[in-house]
Amino acid sequence: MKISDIQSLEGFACLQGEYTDTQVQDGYTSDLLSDVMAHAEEDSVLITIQAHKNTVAVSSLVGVVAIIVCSNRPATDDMLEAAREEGIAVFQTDGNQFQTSSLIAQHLASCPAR
Amino acid sequence: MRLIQIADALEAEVHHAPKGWEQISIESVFASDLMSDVLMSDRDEMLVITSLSTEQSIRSAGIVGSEAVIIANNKTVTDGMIALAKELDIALFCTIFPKYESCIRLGRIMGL
Amino acid sequence: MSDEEQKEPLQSSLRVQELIYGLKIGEVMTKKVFAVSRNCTMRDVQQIMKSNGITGVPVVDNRRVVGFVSMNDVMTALEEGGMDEGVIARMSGEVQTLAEEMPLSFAISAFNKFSFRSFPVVSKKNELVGILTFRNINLALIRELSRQLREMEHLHEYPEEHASLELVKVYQLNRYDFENGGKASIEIKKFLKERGISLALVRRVAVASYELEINLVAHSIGGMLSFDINKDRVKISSHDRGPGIDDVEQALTEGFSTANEWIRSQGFGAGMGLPNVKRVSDEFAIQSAVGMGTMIRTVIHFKEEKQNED
Repeated sequence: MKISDIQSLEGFACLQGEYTDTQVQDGYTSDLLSDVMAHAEEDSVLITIQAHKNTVAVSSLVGVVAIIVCSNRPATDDMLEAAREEGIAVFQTDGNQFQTSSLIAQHLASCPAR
Repeated sequence: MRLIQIADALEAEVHHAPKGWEQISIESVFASDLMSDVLMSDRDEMLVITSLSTEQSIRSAGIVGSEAVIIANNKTVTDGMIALAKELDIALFCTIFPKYESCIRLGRIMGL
Repeated sequence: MSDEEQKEPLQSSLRVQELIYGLKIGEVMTKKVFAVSRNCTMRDVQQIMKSNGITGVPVVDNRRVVGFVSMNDVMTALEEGGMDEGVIARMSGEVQTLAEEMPLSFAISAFNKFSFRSFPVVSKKNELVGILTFRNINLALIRELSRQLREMEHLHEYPEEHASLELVKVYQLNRYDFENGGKASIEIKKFLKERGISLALVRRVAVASYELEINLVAHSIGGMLSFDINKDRVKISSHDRGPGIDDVEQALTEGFSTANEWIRSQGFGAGMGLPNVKRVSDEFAIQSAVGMGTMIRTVIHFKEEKQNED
């Protein structure tokens, strides 16, 4: 699954689209930035409701390539600005973290990264 | 799904569970580490999965009338949390799986 | 005063505190105000003070407060031979006013913060409507307490039939005390559940109360949460001693938060607290002044179920 595939999922909107369209390897669901820092894998997508600047900073540090903001939570402008600078994609969905995690896992399984 | 299926799927350690917990029915799962988010959920027969291992996690789940709390990410569960789970008589499990993996496993049972 | 150190304050002393939160400045102030206009002299002011036994006189222009002449200002003028000068020259021009709809607690903060002996009180239109001294506060408290005492005696003689669903309780909350934040809500939830209130209603009360508790713990320097329950409704009020909210509208916007990373690591501060309280409440009111405190009042009715949940 490529990052751009996320955009075509139902109920997803792209909030920050300036990124290099690479393969997504894994998912990580968390709102605790310390956990993201410690456990998220390189080239994964972060599923969260923490839509602020620090989320981008941590994502960039651990190599998260896309952030999915769940439950249609609003993302702050400075978050999107930071994401643009770091080239991290930001999507928004009406699904909650539970549903979104399952959905992403299915798509990762049906179109596995090479 | 029944709470016992959930415990099995997550290979969960049971810290506290009300009497007859195995048969408790769970209709919706809520995964979040932000209690403010948990407090916005008002569904019946709910389960909360969180990696925030604090007493407030148990309290918030109790406030919204959740049936069970699952602490994900192999986090340590404190005595205070167990005592609170007993006081509120709410099931408290922990799992070694991260929240993402836990969601996927439960999603499979629910046919998502 | 060491009321902050006291672990479990008496409910009776909390009741007095609840009173100072419940009364509005407008209900307590002296409504008969002696004010002077810009073209009066210091001697005019001194005459007014003397014949009415007051210690401070606001200077107004078209009902707006533009200055304040205190007893001290008059003394200084007397010493310096400036009694025939206009008030403009001798008044203090930066006047701290209080708004009539503020809770009395804000006034007490103001008395502590500034060394003034009285404050002009203004209406929403910023017009002078009264004056507040500490004496007003003391009298009001005595009056209210004796009224409550009479009510309690009356209740004692004629106990109500629906006494089972009656509760007045006040909880004290301290800054960053995440350990205890939430205990009050659990207690209230239990109280309502045991009395057969529907789960949906219990949940709404519990959510509002819990969010307010966490709000006090995470964002205020300390305050109190009080419950007033009868057979028709639950009233919850939250009061704190500061710091006060600069922009209330912003605070009610989903996603807006002033929380720091530590509060976030506790699972809070996503900027959903106050909007969530408003969402579950039938009535919601907030009032805040920077440096004085914030007061939030919410009511949840037992009868008609709120429809627009989710």
